[in-house]
Formats: sequence, C-alpha cells, structure tokens
Amino acid sequence: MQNIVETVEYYSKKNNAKKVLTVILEIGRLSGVVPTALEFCFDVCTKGTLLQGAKLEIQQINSFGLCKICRKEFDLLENKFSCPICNKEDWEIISGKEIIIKGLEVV
Amino acid sequence: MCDNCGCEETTLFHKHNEDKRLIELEEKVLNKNDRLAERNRGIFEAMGILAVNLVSSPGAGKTTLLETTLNKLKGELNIGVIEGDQQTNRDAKRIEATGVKVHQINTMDACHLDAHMIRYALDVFQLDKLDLLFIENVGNLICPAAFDLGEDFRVVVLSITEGEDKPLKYPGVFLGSQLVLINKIDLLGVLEFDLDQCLSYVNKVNPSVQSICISAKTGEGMDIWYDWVKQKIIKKLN
Repeated sequence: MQNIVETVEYYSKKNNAKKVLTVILEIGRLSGVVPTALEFCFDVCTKGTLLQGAKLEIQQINSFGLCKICRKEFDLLENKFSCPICNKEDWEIISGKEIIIKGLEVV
Repeated sequence: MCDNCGCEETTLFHKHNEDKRLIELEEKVLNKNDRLAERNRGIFEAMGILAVNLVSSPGAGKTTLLETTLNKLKGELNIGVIEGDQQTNRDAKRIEATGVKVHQINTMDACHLDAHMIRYALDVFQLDKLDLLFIENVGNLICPAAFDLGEDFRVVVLSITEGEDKPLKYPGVFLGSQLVLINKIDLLGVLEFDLDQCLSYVNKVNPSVQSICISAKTGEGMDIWYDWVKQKIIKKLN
C-alpha cells in the first residue's frame, strides 16, 4: 500500500495535481493481494497525502491460462487449474498476477 | 479544501471544479522492487553466484534443511546465507553454528523480504568468493510470492504436516517457483498424508515445476537436492 501511495503522489505532483480523487488499481486473482485488505488500509495510508479522501477503485483481473496442448484459453481458478477441453494440466499463465496502478483521476 | 473537487471553496454549495483529469499510468505497484531485483540479479551474474530463495510456511523446516545442506556442501562450495524473520536472530545462530557466513534481516512489520533488503545484506559478504547464496525468506506462503529478490531460483519447502492441499490453497507461491521440496517424509508412516495426491496438486498449479521428496532430518532424498544445487551452479558458471 505504501508503494501505491508513493507512486501515486509522485505522478500526481509531476502532473501538477492538487488532489487525487480516484485511484484505479488492477489486481489479478492470483497476485496474492486481497482487495478488501487494500480497501481496509487505504484510508490510514493516505492520511495527510494528496490521496486523502480519494476513492479506491479496484478492478479484478481473472486468472487465465493457455493450454499448451489444445491452445484453449481458460480461467485457471474456475477450472481448478485443468484445461476444460482436454482435462490436462499443461498450460502457461496469461493473466492473473497483476498488481498495477492503472490510472488516477485528479484535479 | 472541498473533498469533491479539491478547490479552495469551503461552503457546501458551490460550483465544483470541473477540471477533472485522468492520468493513465499502467504502472506496476512493485516496479521499484522489480528494478532493484534486476540489479541484484546483475550482481549475482557478475560475481558468478547462484542465488536460491527458500520460501515456505512457518515451521516447514527451511532452517533444518539449510543446516543439513550446509554441513554437507560447505567443504566443496563457498556458501552464504541471508536469514529473514520478523524478529530474533535464532535462525542466524543455528546457521552460524555450521560455520557458514550468515546475515540476519529482521523485517519487523513486513511479512516478506524485498529486493532492497537483499541489496543491503549483500554488503556483509565477500561476493567474489561466494558460489552459492541461500536466502531464507520469512515463513509465509502468500506475500513472498509477489517479491522478486533477483534470485536464480525460488524453491518452496512444503512439509507433509501441512496437508496435501497447500498448493491448491496457495497457488501463487507455487506458480512462480522452479522447485518444490516435500519435507519431513520420515513422518509418512505416522501421518495420513497422500504423497501422490500432493504431487499431483503441485503439478496442477504449476505444470513445469520439479519436485523432490526429502527428509532434512534423516537425510532421505537429500542427495537428489544436493545434485540439483550443484548442477545449477555448474550451469550458471558455463
């Protein structure tokens, strides 16, 4: 969270913003980051910064894998890490590990 | 200041500042850590050091694994150890007893090691003499998964007392690792642990990971682990 606040403040100042209204994050479902935990500490961590009072918008990214055998893209968590077509567990990860600051709404 | 528009007006009803702007960033939150990790990787590369990041739940046997490994390999390799724990230097003392150079990091509030901590810890070692660096991460299966330290390999230690379904419950850490050591297999006769089931779960969440079954206590399977380490060192130096 500290990283998020620091990065957001850095870019806000760089863009001559007076205040941050919204912080938009992209969080992958396999990233190990729990959105509710971020929401929980957001108010405390943003106190006294340009982000104070800002809204936190979290967009969750589904975890997709690409089956190396049939090239089917499938949701890893929903399919319990097995390809739904060939039932095999030979895949590479395409998405789901992201922890990204997508953008900011500032004034 | 008005919370809605950020203007200086303090009255409740005023024309809000319409000058809202969207800044697109697409910036990774751990960008700074990733950059520092790359720097560490460069140091390991230049100095010819194989860096291994050991992760597990608390009590899976990382320190015992290290003690046994160090006693076996310290004669033929120059090894260094970085210990990460929230508090105390108990693990560092155990490693010190093997005669291997160790540096303890106390993370205090943090539940993982990051690349910055490793960079500073490297200063206590004579890097040009090292062949192998073990980094024992804080016992935690969630947070260390997100933090690249610049290591060559991340190894998960999973002890059979934890249950066979850990890979399914904590897929993130298994996903980014290259080796899984299934530890405490000397207890297989005592516990109702389905080893094949566990191995299939490991492969399910990471099809390309390798697994070795060991007991750091009795030494069972440890020769395969030592060979793995030595082969990776040879490969790195060539």
